[in-house]
Amino acid sequence: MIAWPSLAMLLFVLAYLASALLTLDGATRIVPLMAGAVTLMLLLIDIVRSAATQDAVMPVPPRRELIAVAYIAAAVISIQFFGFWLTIPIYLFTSIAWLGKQAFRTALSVSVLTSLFIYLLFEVLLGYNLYPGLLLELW
Amino acid sequence: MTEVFLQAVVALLSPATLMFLIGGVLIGLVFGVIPGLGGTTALALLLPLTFGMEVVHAFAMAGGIMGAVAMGGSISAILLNAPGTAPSAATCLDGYPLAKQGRAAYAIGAVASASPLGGLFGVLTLLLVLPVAKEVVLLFGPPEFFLVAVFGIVTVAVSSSRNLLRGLIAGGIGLMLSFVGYDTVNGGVRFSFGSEFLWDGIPLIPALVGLFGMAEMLRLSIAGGSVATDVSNVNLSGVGSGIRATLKHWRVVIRGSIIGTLIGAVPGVGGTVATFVAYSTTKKADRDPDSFGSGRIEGVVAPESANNAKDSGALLPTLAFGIPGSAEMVVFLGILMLHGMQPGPAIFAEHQQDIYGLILALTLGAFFASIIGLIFVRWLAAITLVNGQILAPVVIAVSFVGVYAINQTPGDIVVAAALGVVGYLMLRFDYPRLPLVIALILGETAERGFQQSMMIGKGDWGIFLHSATSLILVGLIVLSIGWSLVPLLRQRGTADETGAEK
Amino acid sequence: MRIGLAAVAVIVFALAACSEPSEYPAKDITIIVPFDSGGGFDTYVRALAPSLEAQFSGEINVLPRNVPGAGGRRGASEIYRARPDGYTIGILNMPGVLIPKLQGAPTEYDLSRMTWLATLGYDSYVFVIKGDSPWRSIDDLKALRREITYGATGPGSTAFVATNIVNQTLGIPYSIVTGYKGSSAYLLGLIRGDFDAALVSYAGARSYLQSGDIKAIAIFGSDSDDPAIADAADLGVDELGNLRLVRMISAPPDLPLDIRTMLEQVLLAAMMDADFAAWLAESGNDVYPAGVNDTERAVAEMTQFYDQYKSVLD
Repeated sequence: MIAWPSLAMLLFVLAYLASALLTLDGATRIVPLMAGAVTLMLLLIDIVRSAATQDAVMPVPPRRELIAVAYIAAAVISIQFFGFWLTIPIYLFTSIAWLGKQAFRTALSVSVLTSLFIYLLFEVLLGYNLYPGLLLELW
Repeated sequence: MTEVFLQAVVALLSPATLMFLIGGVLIGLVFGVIPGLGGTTALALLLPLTFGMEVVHAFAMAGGIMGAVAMGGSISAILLNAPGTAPSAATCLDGYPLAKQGRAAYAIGAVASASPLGGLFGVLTLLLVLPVAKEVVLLFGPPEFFLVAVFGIVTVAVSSSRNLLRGLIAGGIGLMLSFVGYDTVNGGVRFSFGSEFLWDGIPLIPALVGLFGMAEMLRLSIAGGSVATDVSNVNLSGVGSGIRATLKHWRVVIRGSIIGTLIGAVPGVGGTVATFVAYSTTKKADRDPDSFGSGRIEGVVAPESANNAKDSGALLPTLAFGIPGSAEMVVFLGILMLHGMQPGPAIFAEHQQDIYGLILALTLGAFFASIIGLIFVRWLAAITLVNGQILAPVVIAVSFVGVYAINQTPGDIVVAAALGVVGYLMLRFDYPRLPLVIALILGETAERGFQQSMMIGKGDWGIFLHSATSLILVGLIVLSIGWSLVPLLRQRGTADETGAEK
Repeated sequence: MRIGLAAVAVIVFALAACSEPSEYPAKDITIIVPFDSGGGFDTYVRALAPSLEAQFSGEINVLPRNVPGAGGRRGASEIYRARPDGYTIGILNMPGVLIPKLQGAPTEYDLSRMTWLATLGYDSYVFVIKGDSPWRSIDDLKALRREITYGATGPGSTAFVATNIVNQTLGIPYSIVTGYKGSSAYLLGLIRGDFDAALVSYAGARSYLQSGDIKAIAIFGSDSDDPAIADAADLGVDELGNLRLVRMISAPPDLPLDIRTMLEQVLLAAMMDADFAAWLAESGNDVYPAGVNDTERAVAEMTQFYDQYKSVLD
């Protein structure tokens, strides 16, 4: 019964070591290999130890977590394609109103004010050109 | 020398120069508070603007920025667990728990007094060491860099006494991540999988913002509530006792400042390491190390003193040899060059008054920043009362923009978000994040130091015991490990006895 | 009906007017710097930018944009991939960005297809040793009859390449401690005594030479009047007379000729500008401007020159 985070880390370390062995050679792979090998050993010790003791994990409904993570992922993807100006206000509004279940008016005012603040600070005051997104760039 | 110093003081106190200084302070505070932006970005933006300015004004502004950024970064570290700047990440560790307990004002008060004191101490140390700056800088070569890096990683990794094994694993993963990117010693890119973005490795500031800030905001939006877990218990007027707390723990201030100046002076190791090591050392030296991370004020005072002291430390190699002691110093050197000053061994001799002016601006900047922070402390602490469902998306949104602003690379946002999720999982499953971060920062320095030492010494491992400095560092590493292992072994001893009884 | 026709005519006219290309330059020009803020390259460009803007009567901004990474390669790819409309140009370190291709590494840019605009200037390579060292010339080093150790930045950097080329051509047995982050770092190593000698750009060495921490015993890429410093001719290796660091300005491939000509003129005029000259004098930097033709020829010559040493670079 390996906790899934330990499993994920194990896979990561193994993939890392495989990548080092396959794509690198000579002096450039010595130190990464050593670091990966030591981490692997420590991980295995940890897995064995926690399998023996039954670590209790606080049960927070995973559904909420997945939704929260999905929200962030969606926001990041949206920024890549549609840029900040479209994503930020929509992300803010939907997060506060739907995810956070706050009042419609609160969500609206916070989204608008924050977007305005971001615009004033970054574009006006600091002169940045905030990312327009891949699609708009191609246009 | 004192004459020149006094001339610098007079130059600084002119109204125009003071205006530039305060302008720098305000910019520094804002850039410090917003996750992602920071001293380096502020200075980089300032650089072209200084072209027409007089040197005195440019330095006053730069000093104001550098002195104030630390305060700004600490404010968001305490209130939101989202470090505004990389070095402030260490302040999150005990500052944020204090905010959760409703004592944000107390924490900010401590920061407000620790910062300028640390900065002052750092400046005094700098002025003392400056005459022998060159010799001090020359003490550090590849073997010493390797040992300093190892010391940093080991100190932090073994300070997670509660969960040593997981701390080491986190450190190992941090190391592995640090090797992503271009290998400067051997040439060639590692682990980039064809993506140009990863050529320079995993970008540090987005990683920190994600790992600490976004992770916490994620937790907040999932678990609900506000930063202050018990809203009725929030004390908005604890500032005074916060300020006094720093003075009470003056030993911590001095220790933090010394560590900050020393580590800040080693080029390539830098400010973030300084604050983390200051934190870990204070934790280990304390009678009750396990209570750190749940709101010990010393855990705020130590990194804060280091945070401002490190800027003076970073000036040492910068002024002695033109080698930037930190990322801000790189940009600062640019400002120097733009004004026709050649960084290098001759610079201090040629421009003494201006340099003194900068040092003074740094110190004054920290003071002004504290004062401004204190003025707004009630409003700032009130942030901990805001509903997490509103606060979290706002902070995340601003973080996205702030992180993008560093290099205008959309990839940085992905890194921040990805590490935000990773950081959240580490929180959930009780893996300490500190060792991962420190390893991520120091991995490259450690590897480079090691490989270069091997080249210089022709494969002889004795090179790490060759100089007085390296011997001292080896001693420190052994001490660091020993200090943490002793209580562990003692624990094991009692457990064995009780086990045997059964 | 008549009103309808008139409306259509107006709309068509308006559209035609909108789609007419506005006169170049109509908006800000970005100049890409393939190194971090605060470095030598970056400062050079920022000092030049106001003079460039002055050429447009201050109506157009010239905005430096830092794209650091991989020794300048990232910046070079940005320039190469930008739209050839004259609004993105960049400064390149040669032969820095030339080297990866010669080493057989895949590059995202083809220097032969870049639109070259002008040359800002060049920097010679100085052969330096510790200031208090007893040696006075390369012959002294050769007389030691042992391997000479050098320090340099990473493999693929110009310092590394220069060290290899110089030692191979002069027939000196050598090894290099690589990986230093910048010339100041390995100059420090030299002063510490971690290795015997180093090759460094004159700009990087100047302050250290002034303070006496290091001394120069040879120079490549320019002539030497100083009898203590040998140049390529003195050493009998004329072919190394062109070993130098050049700063060139380029634009993406297929830039329209009229825009190219205008940019060339603007750049040359800015380099001769009085304000820029003042900065150069104050900071001790030099400029050796050259236009399109000279720059293109220099690129071809450099490619040929370093191509000879391909085996050395691997």
